[in-house]
Amino acid sequence: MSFFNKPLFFGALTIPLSGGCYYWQPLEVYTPNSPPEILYSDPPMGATMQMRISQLNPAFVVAQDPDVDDTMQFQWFISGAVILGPGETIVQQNFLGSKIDIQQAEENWHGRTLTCIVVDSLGATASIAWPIEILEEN
Amino acid sequence: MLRWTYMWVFGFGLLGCADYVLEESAYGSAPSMDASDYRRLRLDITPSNASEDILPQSFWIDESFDWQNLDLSLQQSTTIVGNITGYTIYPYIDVSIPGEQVPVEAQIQIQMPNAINGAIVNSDVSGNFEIIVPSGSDYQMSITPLSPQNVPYLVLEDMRFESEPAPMDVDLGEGLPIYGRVLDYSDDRSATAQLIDSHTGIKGPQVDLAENGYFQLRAPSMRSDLIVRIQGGDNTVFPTVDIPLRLEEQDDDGFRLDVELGNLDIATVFGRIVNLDQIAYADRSTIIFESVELTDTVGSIVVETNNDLNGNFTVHLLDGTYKMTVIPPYSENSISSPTSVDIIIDADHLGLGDIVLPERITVTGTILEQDGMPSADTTIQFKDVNYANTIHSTTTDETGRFTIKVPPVLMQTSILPNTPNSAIQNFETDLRGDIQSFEWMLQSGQPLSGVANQQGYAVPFALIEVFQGDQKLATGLTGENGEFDFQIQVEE
Repeated sequence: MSFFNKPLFFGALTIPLSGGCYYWQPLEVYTPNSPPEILYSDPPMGATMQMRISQLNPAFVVAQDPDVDDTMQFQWFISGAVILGPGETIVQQNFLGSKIDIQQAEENWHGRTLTCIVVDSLGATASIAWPIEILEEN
Repeated sequence: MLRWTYMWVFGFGLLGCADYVLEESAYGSAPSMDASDYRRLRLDITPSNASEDILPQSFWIDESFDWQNLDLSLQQSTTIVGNITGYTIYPYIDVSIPGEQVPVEAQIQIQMPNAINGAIVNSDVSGNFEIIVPSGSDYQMSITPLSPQNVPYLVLEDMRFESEPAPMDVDLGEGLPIYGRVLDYSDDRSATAQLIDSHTGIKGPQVDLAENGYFQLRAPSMRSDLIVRIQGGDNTVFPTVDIPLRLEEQDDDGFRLDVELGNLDIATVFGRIVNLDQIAYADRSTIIFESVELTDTVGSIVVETNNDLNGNFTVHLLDGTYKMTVIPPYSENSISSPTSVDIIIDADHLGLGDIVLPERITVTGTILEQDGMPSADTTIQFKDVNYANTIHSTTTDETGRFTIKVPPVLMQTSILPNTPNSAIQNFETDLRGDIQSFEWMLQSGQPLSGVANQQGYAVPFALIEVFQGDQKLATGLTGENGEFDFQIQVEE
């Protein structure tokens, strides 16, 4: 019986080893993906998005991803109603923003939410939502 | 004569209030912009929640400014409070019987022309309102009654609002009656009448036509050039007509205006929305019919509808030629594109057959830096300006290449470099033709840099939009210290 076919004894623990070549897999450093963050906005978080049907209704967000190499994409939508698209991209060094101009608000959006979601290149997300108030107008 | 004279006295009385007279502004007046102002830019600053209690404001710069060292000092806010009353008049047509003074629930708008300075609020049922705007002058102010509506509206120009103005109690008065009848009107279609001030474009309340087509409006004080707009309610088959009129002093008992619109017979138009494979389009598209010319009717008409799950639609229109636009709902992965067709309606029932939505096309391209090297992480945006203004965007990879699927329509294209060393580029791309691939080299432009502040404190992470006339040249953000720095291409 060769050395490799003999059981090794560690106290009461017995580990049988079969013959062959043993090696460690190369170690890989795993860096967890950090999600993007929405830092600033107008309207501010917690406020209401007030819209008038006959007017342009703008909103914008400023976001940052802690992972410098990550790209970010934005998507704006009215919950349960319509996808508005990615909006207008705003580039500012380490920050990225998106602006949406809502041209034709609909009365039935009252009580729904305007949401902006930002997705990084690995699928991590952050979002912000504002309850919509459609203002009476003449 | 007396009634008209009274209105002028009332108007001067209001403008005579010391808090609302026109004075020279520290920033000069909001200039009107036209093609000759090619070296004059408007910068709109919209603060985010990184700053508190600062309202959006516009700035104008021309060649006399140092464009690389701009100091944009935002104004503090001013709160205006007030109360609105007016006189209702009954009955509907007989203007000689005075009514009663009542509180007016109204929409109050204070707006600087050609600027984003301003705000809109509604007063409560007691007529009380509070509105906050940036301090400044050259404001227009309008008060448009919501309830009751049979009182005049108000248009004021050259208003100045500084800190802590006196309460603004506004009596809309009775107003000069402008009344008449829309002939051949039937109450199975809702329609309204409305006054518009010709000079400012400010609109008065929309008043429903009575069953017999009668309407009565009340002119705002001190405004003699007006437009009477007759229009249908939402999606009603009724033309919109604008009738200009000028009030003279002899019109002291009011102004009578009878309107004959012509043929109001309805045609039923139907069809089906399909994709390129002739399969019915099940998603809810927006279908808009906009008249180019009505055959036997004055005015214009716009009617909007949607298709059902089988792609079918039915709509009622008046005889004439129309531009029909079909806009499928936006989806990043959708393959369908908006389209438009010209149609002629000359029969009571008209089938349009299948309206085919074209498919998106693949556009590829390469963006190069000024030295010819690939430009990575540069954003390319396509905006379908003739449809829903939907933006489609992508970024270049490390080789400067990009691929995107977009509708084959006329696009406003923007290239946003990821460094301030190159200019933001804007140009039109007609994707209806053969252009489906292009190479673009970034260029230098006019540097635009400075700082946004309020009373010496930085305004960080605010939105900056730069306009030359109606053309938007750039959208950017201020940095942590309120600074901004980018390059633009100014039209010469």
